[in-house]
Amino acid sequence: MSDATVTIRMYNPGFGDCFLVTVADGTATWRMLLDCGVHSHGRAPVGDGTRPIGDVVAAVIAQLAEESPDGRPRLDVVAATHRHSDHVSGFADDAWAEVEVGEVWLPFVEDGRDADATAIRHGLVESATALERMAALAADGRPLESWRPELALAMEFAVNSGPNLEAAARLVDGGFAGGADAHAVRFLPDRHQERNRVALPIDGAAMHVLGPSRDPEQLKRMDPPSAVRWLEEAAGQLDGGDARSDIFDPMYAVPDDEVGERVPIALVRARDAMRLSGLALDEAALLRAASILERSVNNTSLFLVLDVRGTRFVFVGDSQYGAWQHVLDDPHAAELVTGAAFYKVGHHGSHNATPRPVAAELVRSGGVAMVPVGTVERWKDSIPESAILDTLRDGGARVIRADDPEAGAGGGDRDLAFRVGPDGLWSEVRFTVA
Amino acid sequence: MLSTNNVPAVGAPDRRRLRAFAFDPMSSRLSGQFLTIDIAFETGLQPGPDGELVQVVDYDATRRCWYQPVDLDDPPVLAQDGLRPSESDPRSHQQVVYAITMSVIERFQRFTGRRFRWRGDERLRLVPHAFYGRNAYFDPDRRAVLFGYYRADDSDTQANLPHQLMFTCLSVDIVAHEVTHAIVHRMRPLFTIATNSDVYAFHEAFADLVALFHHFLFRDVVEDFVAASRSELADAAALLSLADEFGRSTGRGGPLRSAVGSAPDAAAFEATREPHRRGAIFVAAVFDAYLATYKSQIADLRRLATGGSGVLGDGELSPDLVRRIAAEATRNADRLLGMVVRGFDYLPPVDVTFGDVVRAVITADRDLFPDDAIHLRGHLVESLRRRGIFPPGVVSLADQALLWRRPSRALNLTEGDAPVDLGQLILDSTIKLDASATTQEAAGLAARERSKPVFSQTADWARAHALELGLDPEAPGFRVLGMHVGYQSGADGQPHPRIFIQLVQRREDLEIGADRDTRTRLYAGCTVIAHVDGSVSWIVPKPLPLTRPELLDDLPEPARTRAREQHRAGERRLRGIREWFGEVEDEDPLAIWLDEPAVSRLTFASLHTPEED
Repeated sequence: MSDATVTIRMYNPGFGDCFLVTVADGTATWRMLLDCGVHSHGRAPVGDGTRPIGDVVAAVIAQLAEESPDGRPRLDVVAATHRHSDHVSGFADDAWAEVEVGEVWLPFVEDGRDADATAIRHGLVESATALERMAALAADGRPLESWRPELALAMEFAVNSGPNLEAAARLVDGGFAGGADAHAVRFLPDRHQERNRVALPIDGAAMHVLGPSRDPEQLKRMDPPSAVRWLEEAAGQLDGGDARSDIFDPMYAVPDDEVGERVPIALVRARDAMRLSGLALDEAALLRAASILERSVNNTSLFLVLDVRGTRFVFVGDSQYGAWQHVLDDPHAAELVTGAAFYKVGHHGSHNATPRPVAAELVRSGGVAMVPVGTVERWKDSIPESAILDTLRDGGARVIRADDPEAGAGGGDRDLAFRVGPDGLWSEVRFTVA
Repeated sequence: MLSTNNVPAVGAPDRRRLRAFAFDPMSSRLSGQFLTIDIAFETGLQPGPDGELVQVVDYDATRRCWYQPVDLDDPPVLAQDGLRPSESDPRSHQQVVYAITMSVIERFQRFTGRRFRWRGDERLRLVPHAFYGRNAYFDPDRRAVLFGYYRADDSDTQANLPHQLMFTCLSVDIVAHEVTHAIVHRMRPLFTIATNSDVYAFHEAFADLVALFHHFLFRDVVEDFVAASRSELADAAALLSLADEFGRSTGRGGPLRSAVGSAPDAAAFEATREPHRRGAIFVAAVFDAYLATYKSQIADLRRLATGGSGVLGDGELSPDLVRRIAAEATRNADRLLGMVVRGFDYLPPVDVTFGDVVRAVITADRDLFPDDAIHLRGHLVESLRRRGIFPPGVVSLADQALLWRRPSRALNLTEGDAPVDLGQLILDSTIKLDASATTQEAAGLAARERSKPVFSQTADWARAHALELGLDPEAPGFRVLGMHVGYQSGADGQPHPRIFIQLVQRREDLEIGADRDTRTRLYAGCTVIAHVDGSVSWIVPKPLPLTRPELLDDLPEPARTRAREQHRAGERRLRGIREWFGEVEDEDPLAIWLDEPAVSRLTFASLHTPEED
């Protein structure tokens, strides 16, 4: 058995994920693309402008074509960890139609034939759509630029979680070369536990699927917040216009032009002091609900561990608290994710997507943690969270950020096989496994 | 205003009687009963109602309209114990929230031995139809209790019509619960900083407890309970109508209903983290104590009624017996709730835990009832123990072990380097107690001016005795959060005046975060309880680590040992606070996105939101 190599190339679309993973041994090669998307407000800066996701897509396909003996771009697996735009928006690009794909891997919540999944999916989409509508209603016709930050954030969550129809169609309905017949779609994890260890066509290599959980308690966490329903009901009361019904006989209501004479001035002053208008559509509640939706979708992430002859490479999508808990509670799974050679840092390095208690043990000394992140001004203090990255470093990991790869690659006692692409389009690490 | 057609004029009555639902529209409909709430007659009550302590503002933010405010002094209204409560007349809703709020406040006054006033005499606003939504909550920033209304749906209780409008302001329990939040906030304003999992849990538990025991205020209802349960009262379901109609759809009362009356499990409290559940266990324990004392208190009546056997015969109880037992049940509710409420003044100013609550209640009760003649304290301690609620580290459940600590050496407010002149404080507190004093006399601008020196002297006194009090003499930020004299009656029937002082010290040096206005504030604090001669009887410290612990080496004993203990306790407390903040951050889906600490997103509004996650 010759040495195997594992090459992980992190593209830099900005605030978004796109990883090309290549496992090779002699003439046998296996390639997987993991996610391809960017957040609508987080494109990477290039020159005077920003990098369109199409550039990343083109670069990935060009790379595949270059490596292919017949020049035809080919992937063994395309995996989309979860449905957020910053992980799948790139799949809307029609250039994918020429790429040959062996299998598409998606979290089971995307499975149209799975009843649990369908309920969750519908709930997520409905919540996202409802939240979008409510945010617009709360904004009351003001242009997006002048929205209060809380409202704008709620809207972003809603848009990010909303349906990415074109991307979804490509992934689920066979939008790669040859159409639906040319490749299989696998929804993971499988109900049959033994199928969650997928052997790869490389000696001693396998992919373990550890999440998302199918445990009903965890499914509840993936469910969209029921608060959305209550909020929607409240919004409905505002929406009705003329059709809106009074709650009491009109004789009890004071017409606007009679308030001055029928409502004592002390009460009018008290009302003004309370600023009650914000209660009609509670923006704090809206944001809270939207953020729970955001987390629900993150927690549907595929949680994958590539194991090549005992050396492990961990890809967690955007799994947050909850979803990690499910993995760490299982001793076998916990063993797989700690002491890895490589860790794809969860959720762009935000604080509860890498559990603090085990953060220092995730990556073995001299290993690599890659953070797919581009700074978004508003979240610059919290994403990525420096304390998490520091803890990873304390554990001996080299932490490589997509937006500044060189800074993290140095140091360590062994030289790292490390390259950076033109204009910082990608950064790449290569591991050799005996 | 009251009309005065008679000559000579007839004076205003002492009491005002107003009707409300018993205890919500649904159960009133089923039982045909209304409550008649008996409260003090406020002269000069304006339409709203708009009185000295509360102001009902009936503006609907969802529909952007006013509902006509009620005039409770209108003769037709006065002549029939207020309007007949009706779901379709918003004026009767205004009456209900006003009446219940005033009755809760009145009960508090009775227990705490002093006239209740809001901070700065800023009235509490009650908004009975604030918004469309399944929620009702106290909003400290708006200084208001906001009640939502909503349409019932299929998931709501069966006795309602689908799509029927539900008004949270019509539930006696919800009003009493929310107003209690406001009262707790008045007495302990820093209990809105959730420095441990019990702070909000205590707020919730206390509000539930007051709402629950408020049922005993209504004699007809209690008599029905007594008759129906054949004096047992143990059928918790009957007593616990706590927001029944609204229970399911607003997510309220669930934990309470399952906790009260359940078999005690000493391990459950330790294992429970969720605030409502922890609070519910505390309420359940107090209710156990209630039943235990009640049973021993009515044992003689049962013997009298049964020729000594104590075993009641078949058939209905005699109405006389029912009346006597009901009176005992009511008196007992007052005793127990009174005991818990009196403990309030003995709580620390910040970072409360249920262990602190136990100590505060026991210390307060022992001050007033040293002999515990009817074994009330004993029953309470036992009930709390059986449900696993006791302060960490106590080695015995005897009174002595549960009391707060005495100062390590004699400490007096009026002596030493920075003496406090208590005369003005005592005089002002007495004026406030006098029912005939006007607000102006009791708490007007002049009164506030008068009290300034005593506050600043007390802050100086605290700085001079900082180490004793668990505060840091080297750090700035000393503040007197509250100071008053309470005149509670003891076992001997005499008033026992005590001075209660809440001292706090903000420790910005220990806070985390760049922005001092939005980051979570950390306070060390100490409640000092003293006799009116200034001698300190109890101190209730919540220390934080000292900036220069080496200072302690120069202290004489026993102050040195005590101060070292406080410093170590402070280190433990700070660690605990940070761990808890971390837990809250992990659970909070917004923590990633916003700079503001997750703990500050814990509010009454978010806690009362129905089944959010």
